[in-house]
Amino acid sequence: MDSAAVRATVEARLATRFPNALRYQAPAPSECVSSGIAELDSVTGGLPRGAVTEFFARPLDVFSPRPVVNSVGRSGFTLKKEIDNAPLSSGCTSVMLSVLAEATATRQECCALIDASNAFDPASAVAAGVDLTRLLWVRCSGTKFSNLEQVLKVTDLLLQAGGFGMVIVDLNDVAPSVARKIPLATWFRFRRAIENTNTALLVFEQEPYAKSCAALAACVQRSAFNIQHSAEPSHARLLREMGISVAVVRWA
Amino acid sequence: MFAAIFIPDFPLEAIVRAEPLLRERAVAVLEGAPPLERVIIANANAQVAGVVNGLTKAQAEQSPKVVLRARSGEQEAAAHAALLDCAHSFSPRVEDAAPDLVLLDIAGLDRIFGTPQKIARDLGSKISQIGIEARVGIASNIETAQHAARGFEGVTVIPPGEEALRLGPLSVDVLAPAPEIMQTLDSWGIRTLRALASLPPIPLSERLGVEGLRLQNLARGEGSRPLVPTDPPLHFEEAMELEHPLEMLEPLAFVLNRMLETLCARLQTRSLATNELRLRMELESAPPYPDFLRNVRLPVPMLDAKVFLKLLQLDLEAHPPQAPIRKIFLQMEPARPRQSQNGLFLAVSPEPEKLELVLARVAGVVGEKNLGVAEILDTHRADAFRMRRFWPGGSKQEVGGRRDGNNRLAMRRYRPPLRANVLTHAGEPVRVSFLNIRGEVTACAGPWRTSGEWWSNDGWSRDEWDVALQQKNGLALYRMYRNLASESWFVEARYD
Repeated sequence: MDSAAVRATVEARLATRFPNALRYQAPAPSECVSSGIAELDSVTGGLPRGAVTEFFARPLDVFSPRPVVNSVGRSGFTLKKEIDNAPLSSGCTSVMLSVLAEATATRQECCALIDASNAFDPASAVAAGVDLTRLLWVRCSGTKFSNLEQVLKVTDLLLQAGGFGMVIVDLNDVAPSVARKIPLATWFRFRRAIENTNTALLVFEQEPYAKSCAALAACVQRSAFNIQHSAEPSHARLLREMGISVAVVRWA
Repeated sequence: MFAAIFIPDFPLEAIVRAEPLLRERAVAVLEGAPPLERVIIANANAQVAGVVNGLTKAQAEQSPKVVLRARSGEQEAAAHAALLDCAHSFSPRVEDAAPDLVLLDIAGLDRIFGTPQKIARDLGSKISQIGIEARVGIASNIETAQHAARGFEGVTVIPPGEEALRLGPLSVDVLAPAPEIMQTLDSWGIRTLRALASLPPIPLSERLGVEGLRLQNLARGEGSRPLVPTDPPLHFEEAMELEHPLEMLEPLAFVLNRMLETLCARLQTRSLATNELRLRMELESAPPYPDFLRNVRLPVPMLDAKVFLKLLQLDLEAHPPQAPIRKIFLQMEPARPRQSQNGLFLAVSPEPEKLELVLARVAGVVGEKNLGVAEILDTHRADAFRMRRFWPGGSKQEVGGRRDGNNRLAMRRYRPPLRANVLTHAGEPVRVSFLNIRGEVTACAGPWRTSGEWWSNDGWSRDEWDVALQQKNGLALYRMYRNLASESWFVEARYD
């Protein structure tokens, strides 16, 4: 019996319980929700639910221009050059607060923020319009486990529990040399956990770690800032604004 | 119509209810202060093994197959409370006649629960669900129902008019007469209720007085005692005295599971739920230390023994007792069940039961203090907030931010602030280094002086600066301050 006949037989036997059991089924298009930033929404259509979205801060020119597959079969971007690890003012947190404000205040969803470095500022969040009562803030202090272990454990628990409109993992202050050690299988597990759910998993980081597991990856960078240089005395100067540019790198 | 629930060998039943595996074994209950403990009740298997009432503990221990247990007041109280709960789930008029006897008025319940036969069967099965084997008697008056329950095995329903006939074969013992009257009746050869009922009343009253006539009326199934309803306070507590002190948490889970299931069944019979679990444990080294107490508060009333067990396990893993456990008391605070109407257009939120478990698990990873909702305090102190318990249905916060796209710059806090080395020129910072970061200040704004709470030890006084720092890999904006008391510089936050 040739393979086509075997396949037809198996499919016929399973047809009542699993229609098209041996045929490729394209995943259903995921629903997108607004990020609260009209310009970003106009490009991407919003943030996908049931998928992983990455916002990273490293400038794009340090990565290879195209996704590559490394020796262990991981696809993604590779660093062209190693640069200093000190985090910059990229605007990632501003984007995060905007997304949270849209989810908690406008859509009135419950969200979770897994804060790897205990850096979340509630006052900034309130000023950005976040409804703190709908935001579960998990501060990873690294007492029992390391910060990163805590982040991964908590993310697993929250994704498996379900019911959160958005789960945000803030790895902005985690050194890339440490965060790169997160196995790709972990990101696959996260992606699998939220597939076909209403939860959107957002990761804010210095580099893209989830690679091909992310449905949307965007590079966030500060484009400009405005401190009044000329004003005297110095206390009359004000840090007025900071421009942020977002470049969509992957949109599956 | 009235129903009577009678539990024969109540102290033994209370113990077997807490340890169901004992039901098939030979068990004897001891009472008295050591070393004068004596057997007060022995079940049929124990009697076959040679253990009878009145034996001393040492004598009873000669039968190795017989399990000996001390009489437990707490377990009897819990069993009695469970019995009352069962009765209340059928009728609001319940009399707490004795620890082993509960009476209830079932008049008019046929429309709800069916015929008296069905009510009796349902009562029996409901009581067996809480781990007690009961006898149920139903009759037109309280006394007859009570004697039927005491005298007959299982479920007995006596239709009106057949009281004397049905009670006839019972022994005079069920009337519990005074010893001297019992002796007199025995000497007359009167051993059954039928024989007592057939005696001529006048000679009986001449010999035994009013008490004799009363006993005869009872034997004839004539009674007129009214029901005295009792409404005891709702108290849901189970106790368990362990034979051997428990050192590990894993075997404790089995004990807790049994107690939780029992309490949940009791709450269910009253159509209630709970919003607080109180666990009290007597430890082996108790005298120098107080009892071990743990409270688990729930944001909404729940009734799920599995969830409760997991919550208690997680709580005990985080706060284990410091000595082996000797006695366990578990109490549930009764509350009205949660009533919620879901809607198609409501925003997604986690299920309360699932959420509680997840929060407990997350608390086990990061610690209870690092989990919840941030609440900003009403003070001018920087970064002043406290953590509150997360509950999606909690009080709404008035959203204070501007939603016009010009939101305030977002900051990322360093907790605690990082000490920095700062080189100044003309009072302004020109070069900053902290951790492994150093750079030239390309722009700065400040200082803005703030101070507060000077009247307390926790006061602050500082000059704040916003600085743009040119690092090796690019530009970063920081909020810094100089502590005016110590003249030290700190990096408080990064604009991001």
